[in-house]
Amino acid sequence: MTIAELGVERTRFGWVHAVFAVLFGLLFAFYFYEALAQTLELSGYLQTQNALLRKADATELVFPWVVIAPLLALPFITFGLAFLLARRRPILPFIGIFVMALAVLSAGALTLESIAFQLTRIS
Amino acid sequence: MSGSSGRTPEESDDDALSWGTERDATHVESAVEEPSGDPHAIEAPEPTNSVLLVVYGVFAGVFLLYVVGWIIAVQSIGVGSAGALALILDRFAQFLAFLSPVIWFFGVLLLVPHTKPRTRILWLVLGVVVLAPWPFVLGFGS
Repeated sequence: MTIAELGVERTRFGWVHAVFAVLFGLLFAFYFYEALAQTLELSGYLQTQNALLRKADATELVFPWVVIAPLLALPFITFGLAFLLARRRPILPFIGIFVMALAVLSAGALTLESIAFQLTRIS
Repeated sequence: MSGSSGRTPEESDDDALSWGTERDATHVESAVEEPSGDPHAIEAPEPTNSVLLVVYGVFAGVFLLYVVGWIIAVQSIGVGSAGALALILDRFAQFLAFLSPVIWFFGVLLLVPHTKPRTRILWLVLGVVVLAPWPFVLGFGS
């Protein structure tokens, strides 16, 4: 297969595809586990911050679900989109699309995590 | 040099620079390649339009800047996972985050056919929006 054919060739979803889909699935699952861990960590952090705010009679911070919900959903969304785009492609483009999705997930998760911690920080 | 034929050196130089005719003894007819006629034969890729090359170059520059932004952002975020495996995977995730613009750029160029430049540019624009180092741009760090 030449580089020019990488983007146009189509094939059937075989057992090699399935093996790689499962391996990538495990990596995407780790990101979900990380997002859950961050949610719990943030919850504890927020309680500490709110205790300080209560003592100072200041307005308490709310849990940033606007950011945490996409963070929890992102592994499923990126995996689903990668699978839809890659399922009929030969194995090399199949792996390439999943690596791209994993890279997007890494960047997106870091962005959302840092926004979530910023929103729960006392200024 | 050309004294025997009675021609001036300038005339002799002009001959050397001409292609000659078919009656010239040194003339060699090159083989003409006939088209194969096979409709399924894969044609050689057309050279990329120079305007497109400039556009791809601009995108490559933007994505390289993003890599620098991500490296700075990742350094300020820090790792919070407990356990060796989680720590390794966390480091891997950070490594992927700062390589994400490069992975996206080459992924789009390799996976979107060169015959669809608009589709390529749309995917690259999507990458510019999604993969911007937002924690660095917004000045965040956990």
